Amino acid sequence: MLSNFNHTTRRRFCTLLGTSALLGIATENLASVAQTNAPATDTDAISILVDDHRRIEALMNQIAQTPASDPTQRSQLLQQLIDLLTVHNFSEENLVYPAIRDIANLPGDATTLYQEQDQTKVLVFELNQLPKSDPDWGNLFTTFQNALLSHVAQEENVDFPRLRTAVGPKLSVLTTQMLQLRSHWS
Amino acid sequence: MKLYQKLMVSSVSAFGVFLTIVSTSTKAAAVTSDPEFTFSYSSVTSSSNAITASGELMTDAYDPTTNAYPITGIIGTRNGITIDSLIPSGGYLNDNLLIAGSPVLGYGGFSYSAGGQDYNVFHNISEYNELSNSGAFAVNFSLTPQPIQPATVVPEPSVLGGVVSVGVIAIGVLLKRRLNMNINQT
Repeated sequence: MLSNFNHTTRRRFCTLLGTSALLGIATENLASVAQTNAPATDTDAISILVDDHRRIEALMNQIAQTPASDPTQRSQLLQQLIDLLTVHNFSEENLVYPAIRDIANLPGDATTLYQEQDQTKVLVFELNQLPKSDPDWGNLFTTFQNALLSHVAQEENVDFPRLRTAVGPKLSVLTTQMLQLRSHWS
Repeated sequence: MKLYQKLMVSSVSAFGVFLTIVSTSTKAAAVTSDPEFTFSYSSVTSSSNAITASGELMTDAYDPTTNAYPITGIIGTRNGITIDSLIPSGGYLNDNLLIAGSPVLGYGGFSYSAGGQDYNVFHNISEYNELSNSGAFAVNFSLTPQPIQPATVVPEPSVLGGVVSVGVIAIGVLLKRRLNMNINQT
């Protein structure tokens, strides 16, 4: 009876031990897979930002075409643009610009991009504050639009391609990090 | 003996449940606490645009996706005027995040209204700034306590598996010792 008890207890003990060990190994493997493989998407961090740019440009065109006689529409579209820029800028400032500085080894370009975002911020503040029916609002918006288009051209024609080359296959890591960051707003 | 056997098996199960409860409570404590931070800032240069602001920032618990504490509310004064409200994320490209690092604000920073005016406090590439109708001015910004990653780390599932394994081994050793004692006695 005693030997039977020993055997039963040991078997249960081994089962418990085995299960917990298996649990540990399985979760460990899962974690390492999650760390090394980007999520199954048909895009990457840079493509996400370029896609943002197209949406930003489309919204800016809509705003530019909205007359001063329709300040409500201007306000609504501007808010949509600001919401998009908030997430977009956060992604760039916290992930992509540091990568442009450190991985693509373009510290000067990164600094310029940061400064341009800073100027954009001031213009957004002014656009928000100025009544949307003010005769100067359209001109201020044009200044903002031109500044942003120039900034986008610099990124897409110079810095993003150089980052893509420099970062190589590790772009998937950047993509994972960006999707995590952006999930805060989704 | 059967009773003893059942008691031992129950002890192992109870220990497992205990570990689960402990790990769950640890996770809950890390996620549900809503910290408050005391802030103050003043203009760097003495000019006609002298700024002095102070108060408290209420936040949600630390969010690992952004490595930050999302700001949910604000109380305080700016140049003696009571701060009315926090402006939601996106108002002036503000992200309303207190970063667990240095600087504690990013390019987005936080925005608030006081006396009918809006203000955005942020950190650009080199310094903290306050952006208002009067423009952007460098400020000395301080925060207490410093936002850091919570000391209570949520255990990874694999770590938890390891802890359970160690616990089961410990119980097993105790069990075996008692059984050996029983054998010697009989």
